[in-house]
Amino acid sequence: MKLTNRYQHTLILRSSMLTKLNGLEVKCLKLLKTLKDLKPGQFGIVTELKSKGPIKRRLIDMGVTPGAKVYVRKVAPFGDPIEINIRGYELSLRKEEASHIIVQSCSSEEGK
Amino acid sequence: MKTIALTGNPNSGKTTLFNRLTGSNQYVGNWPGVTVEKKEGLLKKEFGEAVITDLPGIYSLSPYSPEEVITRDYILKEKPDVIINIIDGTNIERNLYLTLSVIELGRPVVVAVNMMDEVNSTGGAIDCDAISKELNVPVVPISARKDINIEALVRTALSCDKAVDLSDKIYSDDALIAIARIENLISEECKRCGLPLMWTAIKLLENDIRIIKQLDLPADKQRAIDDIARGFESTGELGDRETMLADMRYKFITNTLVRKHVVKPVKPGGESLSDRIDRFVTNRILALPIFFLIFSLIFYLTFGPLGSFFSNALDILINDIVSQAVISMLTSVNAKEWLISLVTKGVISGVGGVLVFLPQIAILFFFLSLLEDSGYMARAAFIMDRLFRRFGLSGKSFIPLLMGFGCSVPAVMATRTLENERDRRMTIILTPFMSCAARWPIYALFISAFFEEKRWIVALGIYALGIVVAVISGIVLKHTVFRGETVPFVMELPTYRLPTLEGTVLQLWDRVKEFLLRAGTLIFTMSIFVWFLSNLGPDLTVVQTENSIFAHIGRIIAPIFAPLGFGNWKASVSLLTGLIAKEAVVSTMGILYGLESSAAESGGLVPVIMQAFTPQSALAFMAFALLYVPCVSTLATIRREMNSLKWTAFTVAWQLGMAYLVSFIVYNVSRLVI
Repeated sequence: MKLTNRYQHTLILRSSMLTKLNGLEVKCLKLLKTLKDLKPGQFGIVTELKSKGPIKRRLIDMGVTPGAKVYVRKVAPFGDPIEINIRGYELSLRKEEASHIIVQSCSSEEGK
Repeated sequence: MKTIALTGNPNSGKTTLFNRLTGSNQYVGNWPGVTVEKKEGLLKKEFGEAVITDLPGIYSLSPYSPEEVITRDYILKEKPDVIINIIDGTNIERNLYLTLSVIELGRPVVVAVNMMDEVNSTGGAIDCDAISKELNVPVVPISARKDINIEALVRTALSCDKAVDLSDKIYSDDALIAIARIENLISEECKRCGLPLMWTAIKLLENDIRIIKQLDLPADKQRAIDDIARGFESTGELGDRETMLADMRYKFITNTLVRKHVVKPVKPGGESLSDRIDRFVTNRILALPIFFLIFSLIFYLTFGPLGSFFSNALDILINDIVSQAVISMLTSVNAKEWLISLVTKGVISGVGGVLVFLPQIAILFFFLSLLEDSGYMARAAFIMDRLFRRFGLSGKSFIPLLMGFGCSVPAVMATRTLENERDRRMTIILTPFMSCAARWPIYALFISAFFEEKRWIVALGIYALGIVVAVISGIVLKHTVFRGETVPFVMELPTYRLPTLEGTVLQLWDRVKEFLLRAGTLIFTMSIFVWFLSNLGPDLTVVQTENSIFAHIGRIIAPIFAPLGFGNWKASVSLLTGLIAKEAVVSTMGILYGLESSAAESGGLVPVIMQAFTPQSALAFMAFALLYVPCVSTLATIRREMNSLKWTAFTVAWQLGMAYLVSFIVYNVSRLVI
């Protein structure tokens, strides 16, 4: 819970940056959020994993590593879990897990 | 003979490839010492000579998931001559991660890039030769489904015999230095444990709990390794060793392999077919109606007219035609009366009583494997997760629980997809509450006897009762025995694929074969056993059933069931034989109530049951039969999957307790109501 609170309010990154994603220049905001705070249709770049133990390992193995681009596709009918697209495939994870993944929220015309 | 092991991500087409390589020459065997069944097969003759071992579908070789541990232990201990690592060409980035881990194990590896037809048809391209040069292992493009290039793959695999070391390419200098320093420290222990040095060093640097335990290093060495690891951590920005090493692997994959040699498909209109299907199937509003529609349809087809038609046809075939033929044949050779009785009332009615469910089990499993192969099961887990979490389960528990309606044995085995021990145990305990197909005849008998006009209500009610008890058990266990943090849920939603007829049929045949084998061995023996126990007295002479060994046992345990309304010895003994197989409850009743007509033919039993039971005790009996300890095959599976006698005992105790309690409530409440 502590982590969630800490990252619920977005933190400010030192400088704004341009990142190349899929050959496309996209502007990434200065703001850091948790993956949980991204809305369906938004995407971001993983900057840090705050998870611990087996779940951290599982996420890493599934390709959720710093630098990977994530796109939030949808939320399940009961409001949890969420579905994201990462490294070209669909992954579902609970909001609880998503709240431990810090992302840099990005915007681009190719977001969808 | 050469041994070839098959590894790959789930949904990479591993099973299809396995079927292509082995044809029908496969067999399922028990893995010595571990809790998993392995599938082995002989390579098709036209390909050459080799034994193929199908390893579980996995994403990496982490020390946390049982299937991943099994795979790496198998490769390390059995040392297969070559490993075929099958990867999904349409999802190559993540699939290659496992490839790197497998190569690290130090066995010769051949990479098979599957689904090349799909990659090409969507406008993508993969330069397999270039990737092969980078990885230093053979890379063969194939399509397992369309049977393309399989022979080339086999030829490559059979001639491949060199293991490669990619560490220089993957890891940073700091990492390599750390690995080398750890290697120096552990060479002795490594040799003792028979582990490959380099791999072990990498695992120690990754803080792999299993390897640390297995090596059991002296404290000073462990401290030295921790120091090395801390030094290594300070060289990167990511801060911890696990992430740093994984990051290097992924960087190698993206920078050296994917970016240079893979052209990702241009998606027409930005949405793949899978995405478009998911727009409906996992849609916020439509998801649940679609979900219920699919499963109602399956249950309707299985237990409704279609399934009943085949079951009835088989029933007539076995109990009228075969049974009559055997009787007249035995009579014609002047067989003794007791022998005729043993063969017809014992064996044919016992085994036949089980066989009549074959059509329904086959239909159910046919649909379940269709759903599984298409990719829908993962969506079902995705949709249900939130709901299941309230009962202390995870969305992934859905698949085993659903299979439980077919047969508890494969259902309990299916819990392996749950990585977390707690979720797994919980799911195993609750799965047998889903009424398996073998329990249906018990309900069918009592419904015909007492509730003919309310047939569907009672039938649905009993299935619902199982689910309700599972839910209540889940909630209770979640707050008592399994108290603690909720466990994470991370699951891939695979691309939808059209199931192949061949794959579905082969999978179905596996299940049917297992069922037939059970009917032919266990049920066969048990039927003879039951016949003797119900026809012999304690002094081993032929007696009336009333004085048989069974009657004696039954009279001892019967009082236990008196508060539930069915404290007679025949009912008690039937439940006892039900432990061997649930189907046996009805066939034992048939034998015990000494019927002229066959036991499995419920119609014949109905009048006797109507005398022996009241509607209230019938309900209580059905509830008890639904909930009490599953058959021995399931128990054996639970014991194996739990890998703990304590937990198996707990499961049994819980189920017995629930059965008694619920049955007691049902009996007494229905006495007030009806």
